[in-house]
Amino acid sequence: MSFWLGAIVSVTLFTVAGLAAGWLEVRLRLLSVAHGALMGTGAYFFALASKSGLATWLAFLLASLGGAAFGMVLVGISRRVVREDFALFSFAVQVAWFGLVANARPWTGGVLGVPGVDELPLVERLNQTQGAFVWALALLLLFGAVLSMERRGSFPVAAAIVARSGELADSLGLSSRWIRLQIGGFYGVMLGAVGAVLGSFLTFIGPEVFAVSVSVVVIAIGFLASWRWWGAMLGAVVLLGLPEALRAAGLASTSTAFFRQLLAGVIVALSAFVIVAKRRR
Amino acid sequence: MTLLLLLVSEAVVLAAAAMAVKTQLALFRGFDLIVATAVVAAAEISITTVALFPGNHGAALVAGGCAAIVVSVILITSWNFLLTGLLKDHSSPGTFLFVFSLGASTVASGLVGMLRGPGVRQMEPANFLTQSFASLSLGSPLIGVLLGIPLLTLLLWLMRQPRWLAIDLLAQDREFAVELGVKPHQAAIAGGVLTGLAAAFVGWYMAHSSGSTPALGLQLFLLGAGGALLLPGSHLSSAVHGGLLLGGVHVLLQLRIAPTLSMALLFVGILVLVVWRGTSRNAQEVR
Repeated sequence: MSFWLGAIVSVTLFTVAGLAAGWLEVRLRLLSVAHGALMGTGAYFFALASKSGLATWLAFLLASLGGAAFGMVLVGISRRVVREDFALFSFAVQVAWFGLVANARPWTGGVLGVPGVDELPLVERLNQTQGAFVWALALLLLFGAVLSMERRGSFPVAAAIVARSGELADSLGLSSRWIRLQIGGFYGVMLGAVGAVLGSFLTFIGPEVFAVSVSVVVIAIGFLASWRWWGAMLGAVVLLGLPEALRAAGLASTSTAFFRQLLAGVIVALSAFVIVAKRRR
Repeated sequence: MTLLLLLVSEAVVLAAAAMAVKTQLALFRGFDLIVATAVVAAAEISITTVALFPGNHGAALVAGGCAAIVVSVILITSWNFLLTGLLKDHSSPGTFLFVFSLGASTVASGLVGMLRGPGVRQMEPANFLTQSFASLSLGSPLIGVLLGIPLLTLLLWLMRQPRWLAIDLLAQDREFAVELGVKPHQAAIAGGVLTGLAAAFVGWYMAHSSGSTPALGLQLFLLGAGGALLLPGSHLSSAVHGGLLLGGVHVLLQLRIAPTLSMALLFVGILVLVVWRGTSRNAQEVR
């Protein structure tokens, strides 16, 4: 039961992460490969803050704000670095983040990571998996509701103008810089929060938990999310749930990880046709 | 002496990586992660081939190198042939290429992992070159210099030949090149040979020095991209100069800092450079 609940937690968390990635792609037409770095930032903020004696709810808030700050900087830079250059830039950010975290041993534990991550706030009476499930579901419902409300307002129109041309947006009286910062901030909050919950669920975090392969999985789910809103859930079930089911059936853990990578790569490669075809129209 | 060898070998490897990335950038107007895949494929096939010649180091060296070249050139040339069809008349080829190649390289990484398991794969016995040259610190860098410099010279000479000069022209001004009669699909095949040779050398060197792993292939691709973007100018040779400079800086950094940290700092430097240069119309003050 605990195994399947754990699988559901992973699926739910990566659904949220995929929604964040898909939202960024739809609003600003930005492909980021730094999703793992943002999740990892949230996870490290939570783990280190709670270990230093801070209340867990404050540590969680810090994780979300840390993600927000990182997201704002990353997306803010898209004003200067555009299209595939931004994708390459975010790829380099992800790889640099990994290297810096792996070497900052006095603060992050280096490659050994941070063991014994605290439980999340408000769910201390539940075990770690149950607590993570409650939080994952809460994040999905909260962010899902916010994105649903956002879609009905005028923000998507403003973001579409900014995505098309920052100069046009400025001419129309929209602050392209402020809109990018808002999008980056919210995108970062989502991923930072996911990272914090994931860290608590795993009870251990290390740089390899948030490597490039995690970013590619989130990108794949994000592409499905940008296609249909339920695509994020479908992507997470296929990329997280299916390998876990194979693991339960006897496949080795390392093989399931590579199988997940294979599936994610296929989805990303096929998405190239859908995304670019959409833009050509 | 050892430091000089390391400096030159690293510079040559990154120059080759930069040339591979820049050639694909010139041909398809985007960053192509197939370079990382070709590097890993060359490394893996090189390691497999060396294992077939136990005790015969000379034959192993030659066979491993040839296998790496064949696999890498075939892979890149076929990929380029496929891309010329897919990218025809695309409004945003760079984005498509990055996404498609990211997916393809992830599939390749997954396949490599499933076929041979996780972790770094090294030559058997570990770095057999050290047995040939009787010095742990000289083996791989010495071979890197002895093979890399002639290879780089060959590639630079090839770039001056008419068929390959077309790639340089495409890098500088695509529309003008097409007006002059350059056929992009022919250039793509020729470019595939150039990129394949460069990637084969990088992969072969990677296999001999640190071992093969998809993550390292991606890092070498990123460093190649850094070398390609480091110096201004759209000539292919500017990528070679950028790669040489980056390789030298990398080795000098490692004199003071741990290798993995120096790599991360190098990426940070590349990031700062990309942001400072800027690629948006705002950043380039285009009106």
